[in-house]
Amino acid sequence: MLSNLLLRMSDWNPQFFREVRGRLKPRQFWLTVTASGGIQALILLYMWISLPGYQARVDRYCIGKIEPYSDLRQCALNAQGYPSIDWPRWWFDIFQALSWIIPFVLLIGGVYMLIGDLAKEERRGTLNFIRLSPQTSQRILIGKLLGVPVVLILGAVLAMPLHLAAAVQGGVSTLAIASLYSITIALCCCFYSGAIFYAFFGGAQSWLGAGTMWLCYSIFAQMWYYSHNYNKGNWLLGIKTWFYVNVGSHLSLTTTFVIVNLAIATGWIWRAINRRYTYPNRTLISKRQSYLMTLSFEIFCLGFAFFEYQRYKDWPTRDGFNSLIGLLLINLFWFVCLIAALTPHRQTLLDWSRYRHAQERRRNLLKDLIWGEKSPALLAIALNALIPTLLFGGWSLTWQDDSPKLIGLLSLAFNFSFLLICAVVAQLVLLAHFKKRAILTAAVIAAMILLPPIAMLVMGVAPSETSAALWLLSGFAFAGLDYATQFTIGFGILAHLTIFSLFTTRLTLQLKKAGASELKILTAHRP
Amino acid sequence: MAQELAIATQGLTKQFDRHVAVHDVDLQIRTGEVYGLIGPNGAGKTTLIRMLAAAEEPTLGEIHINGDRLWQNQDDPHLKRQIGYLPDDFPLYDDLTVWDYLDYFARLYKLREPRRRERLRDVLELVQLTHKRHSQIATLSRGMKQRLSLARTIIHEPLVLLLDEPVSGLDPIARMQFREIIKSLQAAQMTILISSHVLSDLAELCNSIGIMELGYLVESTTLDHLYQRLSQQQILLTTLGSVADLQAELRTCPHVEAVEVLSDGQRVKATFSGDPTAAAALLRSLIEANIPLTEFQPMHEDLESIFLKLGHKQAS
Repeated sequence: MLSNLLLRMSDWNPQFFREVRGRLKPRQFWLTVTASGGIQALILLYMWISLPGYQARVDRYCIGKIEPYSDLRQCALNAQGYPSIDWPRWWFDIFQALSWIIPFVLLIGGVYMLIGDLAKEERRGTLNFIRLSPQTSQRILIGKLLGVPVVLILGAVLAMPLHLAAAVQGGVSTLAIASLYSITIALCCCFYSGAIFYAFFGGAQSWLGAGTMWLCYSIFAQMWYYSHNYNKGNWLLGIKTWFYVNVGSHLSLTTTFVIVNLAIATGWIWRAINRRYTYPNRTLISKRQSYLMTLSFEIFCLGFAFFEYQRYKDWPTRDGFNSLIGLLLINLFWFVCLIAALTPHRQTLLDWSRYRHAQERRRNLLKDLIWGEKSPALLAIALNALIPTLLFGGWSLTWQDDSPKLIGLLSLAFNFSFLLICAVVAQLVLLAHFKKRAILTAAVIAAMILLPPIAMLVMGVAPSETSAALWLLSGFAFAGLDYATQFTIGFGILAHLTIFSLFTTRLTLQLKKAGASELKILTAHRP
Repeated sequence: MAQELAIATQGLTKQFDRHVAVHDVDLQIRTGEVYGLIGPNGAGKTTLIRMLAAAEEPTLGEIHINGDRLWQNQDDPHLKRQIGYLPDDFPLYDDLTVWDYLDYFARLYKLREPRRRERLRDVLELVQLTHKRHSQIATLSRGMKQRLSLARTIIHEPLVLLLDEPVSGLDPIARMQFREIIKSLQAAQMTILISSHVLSDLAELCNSIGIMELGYLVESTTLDHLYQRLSQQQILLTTLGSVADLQAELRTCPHVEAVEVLSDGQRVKATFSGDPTAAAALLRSLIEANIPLTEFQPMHEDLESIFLKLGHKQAS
């Protein structure tokens, strides 16, 4: 029966079967069992050593009066001089330790393994063979997602009996256990898909992916620790309100919120990786996908800006404007990723400009620029940038506190313009004749965003009336707008328009040149 | 689209940057044909084959496989199962055994038990790797790896087989083994497109030949037609008697254009312009003239000579 089940599984997903077969050989299997058992034994041993000993006075696991300002309790000793142990607390700590270790290993290890595996497949060219087979992209990618980290999944499953036993003994509610497992699974789905996305993006450095994952995990751990210790029951998982709904108030609500959002994110990433798998030479996402992705991302982010503002008499809080700054900074990061995922490479643009007239299903230029697969992404990025501009703009008009509405709107306008300049520069670099165009583009955009503020801060040019113009030219225009006069703002708008026009003209010329026929190029050099 | 065409392209073009790798190629290969693609390095053979295998998207043009339009990487299982593609670098998974590797691809191509096991055995036998079925791929020799790649390419019994330089880097014995396998596949009515620099192999295997140069398909015809049009017919003769008598007798025949005595002193190569009837008449006249012939062998100029005659520079 088991062999029949295995046979069916292997026929359902040959990729999963291949990964399991390649990775779960007897040696690896026993190594995993030993490692998982070893870690569990170490935790138990550590916890055993942590138990209060003979005639202990205060300890975390004693049953007695709580010591002031600490986590410790006074120990009540029995007739033999041994303290009574708070076993549920001891088991709860084991549960908590495993609750941190299992997702940590699954997420960081899984991301590392997936990036490494796919980068290796791309480098060797073996992925092309799989691509040419009649299997759907979904099936192959699911096989990879489940199969590549199979050793880690096995290790985690082996730790589950102890984890569950500790939960039961520690008095952890079923809801908390279910939340933990479902969030871990949702996180794995999201970050594993993200790892494949990164690998398809050309990233071969698995340590970088794992390092980023580690960083995210640490930030989350800090958020959790903060919310756990200082805002008990109000900020679950570091989340408070979203569109005024207090999603952080109840575990089931928080879990649902997190899982729904992770599912939406996973869905978008999943569509992108399926597309990239099927069409390796196209952009990571289509223009059509990008509009919906940006809209859902911006709505998600905007939700956190809706909360009850604190009001202090005679003390400017500017909560709305401060939230807008936060949104703009997150947006900057989003658009860097979007520009990278949406901007077509040199070959695609050359083909588009040279052979667009010969395409079977030729559409008009405007439609092509908005929806087309191979057309330059500038207009599409402008439309994408318009989404947060309109969304946040509309929201800023509803500010009821002391936030400056006009500065908020101007910040959005400058941000929009700056993003367009970044997009056109990225397209120009990608169209250029360099070998490592993608890396160069990333470097140029990162420099455009980060270098001006860093340089100004290093040189001590803090936002002020005299330096406002400089800040307006950077990606952090909101910092200068508070100090800018009408004349400075006018200068800033003019400068943005001039820079954008210059780069766009250059791009148009380059595209026209790229689209010229061989004959035209030959005759162009004749006197 | 005519149904008997296994591969048909129209205006197929591929441009890399400003370099046109394949230029407006109209290729037609009939079902069951073995088509040899020759041309110097960089002529566009690999790019053409990659486009036919749907591994590369054409800049312009159409490809039809057995009458169906081929789109790059589209999820069309029916069309994907018709094509078998062996690239020149044949990447493999070193962590798998020979059997597991083929089993994996058989599953990818949706072969079900018990047919899968049967097919694996057949294919391993065909490529003479049955004895290596439990060996790790990393331990195989280059020739074995190449044969294993071919086994992977044909595991799903494709109707069209695209082989990009399958014998490059192989020793003469491995090449001979590979030729024999191709002949077996030809007998199984597969349509085979094979690119190679070893023209003697192609002359032995192919029905038709295409010559590519600078991205253009400059010649595409049957091998017989190519020989008829461009090859000079020659007759190899060996005598036990006097070579001078043989030469004198040959010169009396109006179809003999030149006579060359070979280095061993007993054999003569005559350049002949007549048809088979004229060749038979020549043989009869030589026997009637009491020339003690032990060999009379009409033959063509080989493919390499024809290729060079056409003015191409083939790296052999």
